[in-house]
Amino acid sequence: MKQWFVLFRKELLEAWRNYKWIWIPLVYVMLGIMQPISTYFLPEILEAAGGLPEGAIIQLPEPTGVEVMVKALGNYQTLGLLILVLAFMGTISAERVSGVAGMVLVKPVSFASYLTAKWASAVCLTLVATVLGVLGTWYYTEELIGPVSGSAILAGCLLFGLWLTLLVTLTIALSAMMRSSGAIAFVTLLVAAALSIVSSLSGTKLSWMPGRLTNYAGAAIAQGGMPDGAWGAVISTVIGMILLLYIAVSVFRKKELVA
Amino acid sequence: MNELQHIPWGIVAPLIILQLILAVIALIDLVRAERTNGPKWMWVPIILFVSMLGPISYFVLGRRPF
Amino acid sequence: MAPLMEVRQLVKTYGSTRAVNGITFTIEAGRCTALLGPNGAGKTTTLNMLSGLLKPTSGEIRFDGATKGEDLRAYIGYLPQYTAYYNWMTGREFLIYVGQLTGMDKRSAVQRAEELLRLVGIEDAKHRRIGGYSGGMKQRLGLAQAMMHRPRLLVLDEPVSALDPIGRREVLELMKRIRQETTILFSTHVLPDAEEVCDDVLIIRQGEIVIAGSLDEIRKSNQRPVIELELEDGEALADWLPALRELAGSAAVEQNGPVVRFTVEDADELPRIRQQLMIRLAELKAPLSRLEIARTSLEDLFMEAVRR
Repeated sequence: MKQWFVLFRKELLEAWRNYKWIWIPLVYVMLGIMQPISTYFLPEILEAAGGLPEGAIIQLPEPTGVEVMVKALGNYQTLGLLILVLAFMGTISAERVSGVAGMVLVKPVSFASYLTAKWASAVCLTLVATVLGVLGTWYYTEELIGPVSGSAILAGCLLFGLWLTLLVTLTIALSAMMRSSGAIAFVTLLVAAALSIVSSLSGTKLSWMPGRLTNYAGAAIAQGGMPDGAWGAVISTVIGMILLLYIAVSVFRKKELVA
Repeated sequence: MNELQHIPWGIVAPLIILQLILAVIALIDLVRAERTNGPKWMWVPIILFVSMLGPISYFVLGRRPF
Repeated sequence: MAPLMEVRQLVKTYGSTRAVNGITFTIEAGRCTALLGPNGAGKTTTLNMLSGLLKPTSGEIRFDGATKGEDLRAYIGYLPQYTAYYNWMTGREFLIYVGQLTGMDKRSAVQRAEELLRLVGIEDAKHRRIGGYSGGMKQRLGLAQAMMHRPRLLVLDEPVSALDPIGRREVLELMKRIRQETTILFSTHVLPDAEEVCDDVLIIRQGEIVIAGSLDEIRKSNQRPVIELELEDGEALADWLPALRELAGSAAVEQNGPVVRFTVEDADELPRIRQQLMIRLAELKAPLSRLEIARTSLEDLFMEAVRR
């Protein structure tokens, strides 16, 4: 355990020194608050863009706070996810390619600790970025658009954070098993897309699928609390992550660390 | 000048400040890096002028992990 | 006393090629052993198996005091041929990190790191990022990180081959100092490096050990007389050569320009060959410029062993 914390501290320090701890949360805050700001200014933006005939009345439906918050989560689902995957795809593979993984693992270091310390650090960063982003967005939404309840934010944040955590876990697990960063990112994004599509096509049948988490997060914000069936998806996601880590450690242990 | 007064700075300023911090950090990292993917000078305009995506693409594509 | 490390019938295959083909050797505590061989002989593969980075296809590695199947990494300090670091760390930070990974507490890791930074002579650079280190400095940091946890066996893969002459000199001197305290096994493809710092050599060729033992013993037991003669005119030599070959008997004859070398396998044969050779040369009125009786050097032996 002591060794695990040494590894974990090194990961945090590395993410701090290469500014991941600054730029990822910063980008999440910006991605989030852009949504309420651009919604607020939409009429003016349209006006400034011109092109509307004189006297035309723009009938825009008055957006609600909930709608804006859900849209902001949508930004995290696309660009936000892409950034996380790109930022973490080399977590282990790059260390193996450069040879520094060999330098560390000739020391009596447990493979499981090496891998889970990196995972834990990436998850911390993901969750902090998500929470800060959502809080910033919430503040702007309440100021500019309309109220959203705290319990809605809490439940939405939890469900969406879990979804991102699952995909970061997948990124790191693949990083332990594959060498090419591009392939790692590609497979992760493919799996994310597949999970979302399968759960949206399956109707109410596969309501426990991890792919549902994003829908549940939206529903949580709309309802102001955990929606029905969400816990099933939470449990399956947690089990999925444990399984992924287990597989990654067993595969990684069998890998030869040098070419 | 009249136009500028209409912009609600209280709302927009934080976004501009965050964007500035992001660009400055990317530039600091760029200066300190020994090598980058692609020529170093190329990243300067990308970081400065390609909105939020410029610094992000520098961080995920431009910097070498070790 | 039991040897520190015992390696038996170690094999590593990649597909159908056998990189290491059943090697067996022992490492005695307190000695310095060189694993000597040409490039591609299987040195790195062997060392990677000893350090636990590669899994042997078959064979056994035993370490004094370790139970069967125990993780040997705690006993071994390893410096790979190509070092890689976290370039964002300083040299001092890296050593402390490595120390803590091997179970030291922060204070003793700091103490040991400072001690080793001084020993390897990069104290001035300890607060600089490793990314800015030169090749020689990285190699010395590599030695320090391998020694952090006071391993009982230090395994170094080609520790000097990538360095310039000055760096090479410095690291060799450093190894001489380190060997006072720690058992060392290091690989090299250069014989003088081995002769300079080592007691024992293992000469490896195509994944097999061809010669093993202490340098002194090998020097003694493998020394063979060599008759070297040089003619003034190298062109004429071709005419004489068949006649000289007839005399040689079991000796191996080699020609190199105007020089002919007879390596005499059986030392008892030397007087006969020498006498006949001189008679023959006189008969032929050969324009002799030099005739010398010498002994094979370790270099000859090494060249022969790896060429065969």
